[in-house]
Amino acid sequence: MDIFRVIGIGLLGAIIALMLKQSRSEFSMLAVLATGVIILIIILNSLSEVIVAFNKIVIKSGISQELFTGLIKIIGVGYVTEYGASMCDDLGCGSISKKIHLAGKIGIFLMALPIVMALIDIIGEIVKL
Amino acid sequence: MTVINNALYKPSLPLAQKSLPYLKKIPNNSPLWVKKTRKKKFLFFVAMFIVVAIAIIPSVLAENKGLEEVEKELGQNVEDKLDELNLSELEDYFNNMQEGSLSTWGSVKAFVKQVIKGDFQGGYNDFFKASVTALGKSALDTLPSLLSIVAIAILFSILSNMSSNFVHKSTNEIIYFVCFSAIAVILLGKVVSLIMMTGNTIKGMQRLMELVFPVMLTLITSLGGVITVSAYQPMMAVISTGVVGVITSFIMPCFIATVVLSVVGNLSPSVKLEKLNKFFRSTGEVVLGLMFSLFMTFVTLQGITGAIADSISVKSAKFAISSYVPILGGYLSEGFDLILASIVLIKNSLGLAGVIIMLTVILMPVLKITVFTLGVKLVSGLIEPIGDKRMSDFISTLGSNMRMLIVAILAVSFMFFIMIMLVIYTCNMGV
Repeated sequence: MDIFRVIGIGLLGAIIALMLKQSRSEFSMLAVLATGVIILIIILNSLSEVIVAFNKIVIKSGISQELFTGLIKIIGVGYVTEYGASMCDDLGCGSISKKIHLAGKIGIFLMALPIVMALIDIIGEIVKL
Repeated sequence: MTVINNALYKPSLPLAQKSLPYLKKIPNNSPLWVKKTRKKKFLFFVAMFIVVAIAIIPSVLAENKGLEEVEKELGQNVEDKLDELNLSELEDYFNNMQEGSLSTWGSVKAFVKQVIKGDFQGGYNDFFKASVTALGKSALDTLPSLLSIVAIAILFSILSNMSSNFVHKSTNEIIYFVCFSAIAVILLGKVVSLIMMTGNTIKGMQRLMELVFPVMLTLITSLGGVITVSAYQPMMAVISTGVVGVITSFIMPCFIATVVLSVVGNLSPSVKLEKLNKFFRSTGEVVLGLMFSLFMTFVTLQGITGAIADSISVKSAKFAISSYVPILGGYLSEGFDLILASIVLIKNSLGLAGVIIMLTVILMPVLKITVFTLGVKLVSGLIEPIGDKRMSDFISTLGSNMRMLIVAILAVSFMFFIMIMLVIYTCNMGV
């Protein structure tokens, strides 16, 4: 990941948005969105490297692959939700951003459900003893 | 031989009472007695003369007996008595118990014989080897799960730092939830197996005692320890049903409650159950301690007083035989001693065998739980700097609660140990 590229694109996007705000304010929001998408695309490549590195740790430690995948998915869903919600905030739609957050939370909960169920099962088993 | 023993033992008491007027030590002889004494005296001496005449040949022979002869006779006595004992169920139990390296014994009877002959030396070495293997085995068993717990904690800390810039803390919380659940599932799986193992160990000890004690009580009865047996028998009932019942139906649920409370209490930052957890732990410990000290006091008092009463009655019987059976009495009383000594030998070596079998039964579970507890404490120390505080709290609480399981096993085994030791140390008539 080239951090200077990200900073450059970010600054450029911010300046363009600022300039557009005075002349054509309806396009300024689109410029902000575009900057965000470009930065996301740049990060994506490095993010996959991070996940591969985590995977190596997981294989070495012998944790079950399912758990790790679940965790990564949860974090991914969290990031995407955060991203989409903040974009909606940028566009001035706070209520939509809240709804995206809600959807994200429900999605995360659904993903965490198997592990939680396993925990509840084992507690039930212990109580039965 | 037991029949002879009883035959010697029982008539000797009335004989002793009847002979008391000769000594004129106790004044409560009735006047009716004095009138009839002369006739009886004469008859008595005639009878005695015949008895002495019959007895003189073996007694002369007996005089020539050397120390080796006596030892041989003792050995023969022991062999006879041992063959008469029915140890088949104990042997079955012993054969089913494969853990530990007691295979060198062969069978309980062989072990008892070994102890009686004084050949028993391998105990310490065997035990040392068995404990080292058990230690290694249990460490290997627990290591993978402990390592994966540490790995999950590290992963959690990396991920939670990565996502700490979330506006909403809920994502971080749910990551914690997932990681905590994973750790809890791994740990609780181990804990469930340990709880089951503890229950099985306690039941196994109970079974062992149900097999060893009746045999030992029979031996005590044949030693003349009637009062001791009547003191031990209710104790045995109390310990094998009462104490074990309290442990399985009260102490274990307390432990389970602490485990569940520590999981639930650390799941979310808003639910605090630490004090309740402590309450259950201290309740379990207090009940165990109370029961334990009460039991110890009563067992020791009753056992010792019963044994003293019995030893007095056996000694008076012996005295009666040696003083009121003229001429022959000394030999008879010595023979009585020899028979008693052989039974005492069997009783004590059987008790030793019981103790050693019991130690082997508890060795593996206690080591397993100890290794698990120590490992869990180590893990909680390791993840304290990197992981969440609640995570390490949960693991360390679980570790300190595991103590209850060890205490339960050790309490039961110690009670049984005390019982066996009491039986070994009391009622050693004729030794």
